[in-house]
Amino acid sequence: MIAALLEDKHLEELLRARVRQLLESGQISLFLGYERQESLPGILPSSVPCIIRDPSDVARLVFDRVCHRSLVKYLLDLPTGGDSKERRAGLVVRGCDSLALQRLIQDHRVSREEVYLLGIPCTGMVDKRKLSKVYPQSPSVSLESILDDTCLGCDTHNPVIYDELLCEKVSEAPSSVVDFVQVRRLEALSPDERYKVWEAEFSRCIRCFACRNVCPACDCRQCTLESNDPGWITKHTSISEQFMFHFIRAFHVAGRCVGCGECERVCPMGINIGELNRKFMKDIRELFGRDNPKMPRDVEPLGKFNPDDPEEFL
Amino acid sequence: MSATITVDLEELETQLAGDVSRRFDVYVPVDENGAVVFRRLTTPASGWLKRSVSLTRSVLPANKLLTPQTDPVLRFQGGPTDYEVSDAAASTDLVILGVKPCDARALKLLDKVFADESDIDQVYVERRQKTVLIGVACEKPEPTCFCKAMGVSPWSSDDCDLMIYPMQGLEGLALKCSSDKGQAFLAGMHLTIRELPAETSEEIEAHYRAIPQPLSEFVGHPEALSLDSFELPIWGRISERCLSCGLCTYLCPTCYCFAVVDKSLGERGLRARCWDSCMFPDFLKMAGGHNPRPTKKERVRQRFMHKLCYTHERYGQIFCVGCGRCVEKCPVGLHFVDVLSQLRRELAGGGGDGL
Amino acid sequence: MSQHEQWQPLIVAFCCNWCSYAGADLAGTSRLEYPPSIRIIRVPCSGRINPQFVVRAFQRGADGVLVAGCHPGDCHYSTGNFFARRRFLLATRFLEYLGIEPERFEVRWISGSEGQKFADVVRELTERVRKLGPAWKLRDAV
Ligand code: SF4
Ligand code: SF4
Ligand code: SF4
Ligand code: FES
Repeated sequence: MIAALLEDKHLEELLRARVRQLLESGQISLFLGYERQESLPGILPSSVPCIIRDPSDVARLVFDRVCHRSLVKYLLDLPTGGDSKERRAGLVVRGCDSLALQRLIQDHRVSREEVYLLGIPCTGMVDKRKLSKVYPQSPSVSLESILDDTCLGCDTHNPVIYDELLCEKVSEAPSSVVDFVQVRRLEALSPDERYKVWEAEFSRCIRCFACRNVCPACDCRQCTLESNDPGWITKHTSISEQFMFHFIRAFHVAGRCVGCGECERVCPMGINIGELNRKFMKDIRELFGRDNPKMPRDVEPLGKFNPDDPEEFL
Repeated sequence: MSATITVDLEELETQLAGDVSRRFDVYVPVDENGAVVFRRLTTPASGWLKRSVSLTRSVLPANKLLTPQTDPVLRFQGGPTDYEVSDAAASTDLVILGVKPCDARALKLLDKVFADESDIDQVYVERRQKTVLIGVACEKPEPTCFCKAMGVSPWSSDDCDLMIYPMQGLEGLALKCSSDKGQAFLAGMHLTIRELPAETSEEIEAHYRAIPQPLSEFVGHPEALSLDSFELPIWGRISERCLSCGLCTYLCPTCYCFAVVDKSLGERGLRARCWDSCMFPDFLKMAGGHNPRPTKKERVRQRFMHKLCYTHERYGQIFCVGCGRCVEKCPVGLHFVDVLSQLRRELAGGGGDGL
Repeated sequence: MSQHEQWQPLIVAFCCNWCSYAGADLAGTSRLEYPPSIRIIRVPCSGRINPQFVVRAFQRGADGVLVAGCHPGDCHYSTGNFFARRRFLLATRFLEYLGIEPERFEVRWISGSEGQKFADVVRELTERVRKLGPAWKLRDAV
């Protein structure tokens, strides 16, 4: 029952056929997609990123509702320049993936010509934690009840860039994330109370940097967090350094975050860093008036200015 | 070892929060926004003991309390040429309550690294001596647990000093003493103790023995990898989806790598041992810029060769206790069980030795 | 209260070279009085000031931080302070969101001829911080 909710066999067939053609014709030299992980007893089904180079491997490809994690960052691992053909990559893009890819393109880390995009209008991925409460016992469950919160609040279901679409576009529902409920709740506290909240959250952080590594807005060649000079942070984990780390991470994605929610999903310690990102989204929208606070569709808001920006510093 | 006994839950709770907390730093698992973490017991609300022993495994292994993420070594003061240096390494009398059998076993493995006769880490050894481990048998293993496959029993008291059996239907809290240290610690609390008849003790064990762990059956009993596996062609493919986040190593109870990092704030500074991870791209990067493990292939291979081969060559043990943390948390599902399966398939296909 | 009156808050001021630093200089040469506990860090332009500098200052001992640059339109590099304005509109809100008292942190445009304004800003900031007492949030220690 649940399997049927997760899968779309028809879409999968289309995807495989198309990827086979693209590989065989030499239009792309590899395809970045998902494969179903070997099923383990009692453990939730999961689809994981994979790279297909051989047309005979296309049967491995899947596309279902457990295909989390944006693929676009893997592009940065592929060699580029010289006569390397690796970057002539095909990939599947949902709405959020296309926004993430646009981020990399705007930052000149990937060029649009290098990639061939199979667009998939997407109606949401499933939240593992929600799914684990019903899997595999419950015979019937509504899709709505197990969808990821980020997807429930998504306002970019359809890819914004693609070369072809594998299925019909879906209608865009108005986003609910932009209500910023949690941000407002935190803003209503006193500074001391807010400090306590963040102190408790950050004290759990183990600085694994999964949040950074998965983030499409964190695409620098050399991350400031790994620079020894100046050493903005060391490997020491005093609470002061934890604040510095989170300040840096959040500020560096301010106005660049595409709202894919991956950082929150991968954090092993359950730290609500999304509320840091959403604080910036909210302020950027209020101060600089962006229609879609989630996505810089043009130059990022901190990379430009308006002479008529609000003036508070006179 | 000794017989199973029961004690009164409230009495134990009062003792631990009261007298014991004055003599020891007591750490217990607590639930923080859905993440189970060990915290120092300071001003607990009543009922904490019951809550603590009913929690699932912690996100970070209990044994990391003995090798903290930032572990002071020495302090320095003065400068720029003349420094006063003082020892900052410290060990305290520690009680860790709620240790799962996998984490307790991990300490046994770490003993081989840090407390081997030929290679002694003085601070670690001191901490080990001064720590009382109070284990909790696993009432409800996570679906990702596979400790049985790795030779750990989720009810065994072997690697702890005291073991709690939080099983329902007993009068009082069932306990077992499994070391002299545990015995002395228990005696020091002056609790009202009731011995359980041998049958009950057997019933308890049978209860825990019967709790299924499906993943363990799937994993079977892995053999060590041979050194030749270094050259296996699939390492490149296995590693392709890794994010290099290092989360797997930080959450792993048997991973212990650290870097020595000096941090100075003007005239005062601290040298500490800080966790480091072989999955980080710059882990082996040298001053001249050379990096012997430049890509994910070398790094992922290192993690699994280390667990499945090098530690076996050196200490006679595979360094995995089947805690399942990497299985649950790796953002891209590149965990011990998955890699083991891939290696097994490869070795079976290539006619090599099975795992 | 009384112990706070004795205590001198440490204020770190990041001043752009062309206007605010000159303003501070003028305050000095005009013998205007302002609290001596300020540490001025001269930077080429307010556009050079990374908000991380502010966190760093709090980490290393500041009780209050001032960021100062040329008035919009007057930047020596023409647009540096327009970028800075955007950045610090966000940074002030973000620091507050993390729980830092907004009274401890201020951004002002101070021109080279505004010696009096510089002295006033520093005095007011110092007094506000004095009321709050020493900053301990963000402070690093070893
Ligand atoms: S993923 Fe979570 S624990 Fe890891 S560095 Fe980011 S916030 Fe910290
Ligand atoms: S294996 Fe998984 S948890 Fe480990 S570094 Fe790679 S992505 Fe991170
Ligand atoms: S390798 Fe994975 S399952 Fe094994 S002990 Fe480490 S974290 Fe646990
Ligand atoms: S030079 Fe003063 S703000 Fe740019």
